[in-house]
Amino acid sequence: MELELGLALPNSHFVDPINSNMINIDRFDDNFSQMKMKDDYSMASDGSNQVPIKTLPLLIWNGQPNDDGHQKRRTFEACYQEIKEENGVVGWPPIKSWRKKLLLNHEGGGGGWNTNNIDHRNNIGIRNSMYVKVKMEGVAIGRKIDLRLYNSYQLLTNTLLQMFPRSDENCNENDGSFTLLYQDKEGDWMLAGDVPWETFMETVQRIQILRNWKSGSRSTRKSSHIS
Amino acid sequence: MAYSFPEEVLEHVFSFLSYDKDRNAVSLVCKSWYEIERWCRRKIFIGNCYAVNPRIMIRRFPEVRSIELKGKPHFADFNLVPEGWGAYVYPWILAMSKSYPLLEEIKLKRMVITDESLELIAKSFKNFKVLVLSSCDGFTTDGLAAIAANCRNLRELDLGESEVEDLSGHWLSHFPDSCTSLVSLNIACLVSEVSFLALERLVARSPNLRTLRINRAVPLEKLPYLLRRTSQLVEFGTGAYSADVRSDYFSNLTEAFSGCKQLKCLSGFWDVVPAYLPAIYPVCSRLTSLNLSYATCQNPELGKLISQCHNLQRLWVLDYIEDFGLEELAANCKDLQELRVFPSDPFAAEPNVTLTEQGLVAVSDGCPKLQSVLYFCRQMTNAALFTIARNRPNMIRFRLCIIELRTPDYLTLGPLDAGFGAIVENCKELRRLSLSGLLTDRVFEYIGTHAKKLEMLSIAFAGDSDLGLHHVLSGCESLRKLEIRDCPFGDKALLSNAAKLETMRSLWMSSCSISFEACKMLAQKMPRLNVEVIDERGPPDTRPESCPVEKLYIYRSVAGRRFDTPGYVWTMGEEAAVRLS
Repeated sequence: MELELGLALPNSHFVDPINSNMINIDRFDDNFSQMKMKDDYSMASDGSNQVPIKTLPLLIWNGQPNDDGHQKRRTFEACYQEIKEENGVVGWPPIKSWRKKLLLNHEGGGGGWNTNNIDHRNNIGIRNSMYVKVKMEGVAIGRKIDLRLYNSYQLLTNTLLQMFPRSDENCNENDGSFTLLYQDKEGDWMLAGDVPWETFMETVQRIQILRNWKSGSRSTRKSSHIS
Repeated sequence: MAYSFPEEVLEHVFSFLSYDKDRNAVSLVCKSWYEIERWCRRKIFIGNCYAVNPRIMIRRFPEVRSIELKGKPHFADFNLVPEGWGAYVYPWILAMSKSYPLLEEIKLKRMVITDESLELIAKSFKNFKVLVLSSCDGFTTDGLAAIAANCRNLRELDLGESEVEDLSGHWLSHFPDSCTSLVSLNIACLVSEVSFLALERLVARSPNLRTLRINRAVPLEKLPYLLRRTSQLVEFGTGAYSADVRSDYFSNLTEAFSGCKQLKCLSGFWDVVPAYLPAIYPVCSRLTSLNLSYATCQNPELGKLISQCHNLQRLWVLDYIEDFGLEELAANCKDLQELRVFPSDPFAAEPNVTLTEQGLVAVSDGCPKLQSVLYFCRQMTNAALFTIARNRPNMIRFRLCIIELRTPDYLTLGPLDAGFGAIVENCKELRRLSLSGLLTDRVFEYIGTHAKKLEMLSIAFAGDSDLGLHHVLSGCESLRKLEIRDCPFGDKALLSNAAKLETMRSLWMSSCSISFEACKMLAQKMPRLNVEVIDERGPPDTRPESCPVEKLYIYRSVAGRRFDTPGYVWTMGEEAAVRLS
């Protein structure tokens, strides 16, 4: 089967390799042609009397220089590297975040299956979800993190600061330090670090990161520097 | 025709057509049928909220009573769609509040619904009856309180697997004493404790209640009180199924379950204490649906429970069931149609249970009605897939997730192409397929050749070139939704099948090798497609054009581009659109 570069209705026809030079097609180099030779494409054709339909080309790659598959792939990998490093394998295995949350709760709550059931029950009232939203001042897009992955303010802070872009147009006003606030169960915004980590874990509802501005700064809040 | 039948007669005839497809076909017959049909269409399904807009919908269908809307792409379930992507339902509610005062039903999936929207629903639709929110977010229990307080005829409130911000458990007490119309109440996704007294009173005054799914915060000791007041229940979801083992609790619970003579579906069972499982034995033989996917309980208790449920049609369970339990299932449950096996510890490096391809083979062999499978496991073989395909040509949904990426057939160490090939070749009615394991372009050739009825395909970490994607797009005639992540599929395959995309609902591609250049080209050539690049690294035009985009979401739309995109979404062809206007 040849790749069909057309605007015709999809699947309306099967392109007959013998007549393929009649229409505008793209011949892939490297592995495409190899596979074409190896494969028996007649199995793909169910209607033997279908006539290839001439279609308008959407794009013609033939004759375009520097467009071989290998070069493409190299660029792909180069750019891809950074995505990979940043994300790991997000979303795999494909388990709904809702279910994953329960799963994590379970592990966090009891260790093995069916141990400490009574403890479990007592835990319910305290906390079922450890995902909290995080916003950084001046950054439009928030994040969501699972607090169960952290065991100290230090680790949390370091991770959060990596998560958000550091340089923006305000960076020269910013002396590079940040203040971490969290909202507790009553809805009050508190300074992280003022209470023990365990207490923080029990009450935190969401997190906000404020930038500490240089003299004449916009923030008048008393703040403890965390980075 | 139009002369021989008065409109009323045709309207009556059309009212017997319940499938959207049939209604659509009717509206294409002639102008007068189109007119008659649009005035009597009461139910609307919109599979992508950005494929159309409220104005167009209301203009064409002025008398709608029931709407079902879907928002974010399916991969949002797995955290692949960044926060704030869109799918806000507010514009829809606002428009409908003005034009559909008689609206009765709203069903949403993966949409953002604010408390403001819920309040608008509560006060705009006087005869509002059904609110179903599956995997939605953006609202709090305050919004639910507004619904409870104002929707006097509410029949169904189903929060599905929504993410609700739990401000207080008191929202339930906002149902007025006069509210007796509830048929279905599902609050299983809520985290905090609900007011038990309010819940108990509410169910006690709802004689038509058939479905009740409570949340994990309701303790086992309370279940008998609820069940005694709701003996008419068909579907029940428990809360936490744990307590100190006490004989009085046990006998109370057993007695309460025995009293529910209509019970067919059970779910919940969080934090299960196996000693309490025998309390449901009295109803087991009646059960057709059992969701144990939150029940972290092992054999022999698990197997013993399931082997009593001879009439099961649907079973969701954790992999604690193991191969042995699935063999028992195959031997005992001959009516089984749907099986989902979820992983208990998906992130562990080593298997924590003995769940292999053997379990699935056994079920495919023993359960002749099996047609829907979701199966997480850690090993698979082509031979097993051959057997499954041969055993169950009636399969409609087949989703296999081998947890470790690119796992080969562990016997031959080769790819699983032939195995999945056998599935698509034998299962002629297959509509949904998810692939995993080591796969080359060959599997996509099989899929393109055989899977003629396939409507939704999920691909991850598979294939080796453009050819793979080309086979799928050019071969799968019925394909509506295609989602792909981490596959080396590039521009050629996408652009050469551009026209196909207009026949589909949507295409998602993330971490593939589609260039920004190709996205722009596609949007230019196919103006009825919305081509949206999602890139959290910043504007795509600051990178080389040949650099692949992070994520790509393409869908057809009669509404044009959307205007609520966040900063990390770029709609292709925007400059052109601005120039034209």
